[in-house]
Amino acid sequence: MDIPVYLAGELGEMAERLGASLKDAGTRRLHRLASLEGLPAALRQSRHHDQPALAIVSADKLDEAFVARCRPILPLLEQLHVGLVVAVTAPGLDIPSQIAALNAGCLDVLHTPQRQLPADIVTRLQLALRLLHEHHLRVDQERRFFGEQADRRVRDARLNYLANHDELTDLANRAAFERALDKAIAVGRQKQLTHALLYLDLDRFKLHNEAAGHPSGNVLLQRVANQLRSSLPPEYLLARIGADEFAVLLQGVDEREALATAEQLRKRVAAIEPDGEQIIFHVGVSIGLGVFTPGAVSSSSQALVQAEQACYLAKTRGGDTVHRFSCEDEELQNLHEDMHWSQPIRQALGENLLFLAYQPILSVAEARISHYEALVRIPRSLGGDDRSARFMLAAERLGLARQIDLWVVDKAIDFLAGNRELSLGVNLSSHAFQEASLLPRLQQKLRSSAIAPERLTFEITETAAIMNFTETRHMIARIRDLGCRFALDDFGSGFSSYNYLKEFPVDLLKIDGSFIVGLQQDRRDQIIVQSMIDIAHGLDKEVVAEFIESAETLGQLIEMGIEYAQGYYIGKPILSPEVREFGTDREPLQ
Amino acid sequence: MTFIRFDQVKLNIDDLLEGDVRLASPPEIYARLHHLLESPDSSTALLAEVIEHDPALSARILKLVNSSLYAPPRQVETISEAVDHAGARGLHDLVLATEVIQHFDRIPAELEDIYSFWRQSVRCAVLASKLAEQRKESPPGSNDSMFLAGLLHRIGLLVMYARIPELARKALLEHRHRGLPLHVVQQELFGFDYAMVGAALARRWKLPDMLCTVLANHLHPEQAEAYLSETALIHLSQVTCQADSFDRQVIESLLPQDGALWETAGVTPQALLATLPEAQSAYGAALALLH
Repeated sequence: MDIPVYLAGELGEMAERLGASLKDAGTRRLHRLASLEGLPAALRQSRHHDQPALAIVSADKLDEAFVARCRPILPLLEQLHVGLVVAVTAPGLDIPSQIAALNAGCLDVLHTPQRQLPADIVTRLQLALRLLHEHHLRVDQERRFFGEQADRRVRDARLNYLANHDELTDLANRAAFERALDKAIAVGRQKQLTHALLYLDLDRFKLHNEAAGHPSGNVLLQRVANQLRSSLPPEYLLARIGADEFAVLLQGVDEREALATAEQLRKRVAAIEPDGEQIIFHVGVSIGLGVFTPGAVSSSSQALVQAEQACYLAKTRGGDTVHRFSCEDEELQNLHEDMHWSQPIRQALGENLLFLAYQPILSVAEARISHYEALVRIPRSLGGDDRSARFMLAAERLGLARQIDLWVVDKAIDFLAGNRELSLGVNLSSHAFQEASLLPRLQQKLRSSAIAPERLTFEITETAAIMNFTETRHMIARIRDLGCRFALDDFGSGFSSYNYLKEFPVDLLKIDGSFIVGLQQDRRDQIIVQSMIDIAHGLDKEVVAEFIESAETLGQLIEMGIEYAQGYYIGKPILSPEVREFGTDREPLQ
Repeated sequence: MTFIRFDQVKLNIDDLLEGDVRLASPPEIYARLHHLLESPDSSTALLAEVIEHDPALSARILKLVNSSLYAPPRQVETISEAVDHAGARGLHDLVLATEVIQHFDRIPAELEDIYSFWRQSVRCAVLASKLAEQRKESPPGSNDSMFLAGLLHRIGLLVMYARIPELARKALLEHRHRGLPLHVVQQELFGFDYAMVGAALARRWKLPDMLCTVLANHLHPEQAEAYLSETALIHLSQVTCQADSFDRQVIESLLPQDGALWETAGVTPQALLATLPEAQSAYGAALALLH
């Protein structure tokens, strides 16, 4: 029992006997104190706070007054791991006081120890020490347990935070935003509140990232996040929901406020000055705005899709602008149409279900049809119809046009190989000339099929040609070197500039149908068409007129000098073309 | 219209402290000194013995006591002499100061640089103790405690940095970019602020009552119910030490205009400005705490 033992108060000769017994039991540090009250100072000055100790305090009798003297000292004893044992010297038993003393924290009460064998007392003290030990073990365990509980709550809060926030910007992440949005939508329905949602997408972020590197891109994102953060009151939830996409939920606002906020955010982002180091050029932000009256949308995903579509439109309009979502947007309808066409086109390409229809083109000089324009069609089962190639517009926007172009070239040459009497015009999309594989493929195909290249005419629209002026010009020259012919389609419909006519080395000019449809009645059309024909002839190009729907129009155009004629009057697109005579029995009207 | 705030965090201050053994109880050596000082007849020798037990601590104490902060008439060479010179109370504060600084010796770098954190705290500490000397009715020995109060006024922030770094960073970002005081942002996000955390830590460590009260109320001294003057004084000091130097012009522009506050603190703006040179040199000495 090598622990410090404090003997406090009057124990008489008992103290000597007890001291001797304790020494026998191994106690080397025995401190005598005059009274219970001296205990705190003695303990405080002790150097042995890291091990338990016992204090034996004598009492004449154990009564309420004595328990009251113990009370103020007990917390300190507890703190310093010192157990208190009361030695009652006078006979007599006050049971309520004894219970009170034990409840207050005394370890044990010894009655008239002077009448007991010291060995028995040492045993009791050893038991008391064991009790003290157990007590502190329990206290320690409890403390550790509560500590672990508390630490778990802190870790949970941190994990929860990390799960809901974006590490780079410390904004809410997409999952958290969607949850909040769903909740706001539900509350909006209950309380009849209108919410607005802003969908922000940085302009030119990818470019910035590529030019300045990812670390700089991250700095830029942080700058943007902080700029947005500083522009919004805390009740508007701001989140980073994609690489360079942010979203803001504006609860209980009307459209005007929402637009003003969006406009303000746009300006704040535009105001981020390049620092020449991390941020190398100005970035703008395209913002889509969705305003949702109660019940207008049922889920966060629906709301996000609408705002994202509006953002997409803002982007297509040049970026750095705010666009409010509206179901009536033409572009949006295109977008819907595109989405509608996406699957059928992919399926048609994958299963080789596209086919060509051929519209006859009359050679005026020969009074014969041996040339056809090939038109791509998609089967009815996939939503196509015979008359239009509307799906082609969707295909261009969906980025599927190149694949179709390649397919058309293959098919057209196969056709020519099997129909030696005929020649063919095919349409290429504006993307065809960026397709590196087009030229070699064409070359190889022409060689293997051994057809005369001049039987193949490529038609490109004026607008498509202008979009990629240099590449297109270059490509046209290369393809003409192979011997193929070129036609400028829809001439006069776009930003017609005679300069292009000069620059593009084409063989044929196809006058846009809009000048032909009303040619009979409209004198202005007549003047324009005549001048186009004259210019083409002056530049050694032949002229095709489309959309001819009557004998009269045909006659008039022949009179004006066209070389080729096309339109329903000549013939609708058909699936099995052949050479036929035309016009001999129908003398054109003067 | 009530907005739904989506980013509030469910946490309480006790969890922050209790969950970390190093925070749940005071540094061991400080606790011992504390016990010694509580007993009326503790001797210099006993105090010195406890400190000498820790050679690193002893070295720091000697360095500080020999600095111009305490300006001893001759070189102090033993801890016993240090106790005699700085006083038992002063030594207690010194030990606490060095222990706390040792305790929080690192924080995630992206939050705040630990040295600039402590430098700001030391500026606050020296200014508070110099101002305390200026007070009309300054209770004896209270200046040292003001040093400690200034040094520890943002201790709660360190607890938050250590325990909830991500959340603390969010609060910092919101504070920096929304122009709101940090404690307001923290209140919004967590329901408590660093002053409350600091006070809770002080109470848990059984630091003197004055420190607990000042730490709790220094951000809004008008709410203090005790130690009004000390709280107001620390408030003034912490506002002043937000400048990163003792530059008179900068500090002049930071000083609160609230006359009642100065009245309560027992100092005047002129007195504050007048102590700046003195504070500056004491600051240089007190930086020894950080090394």
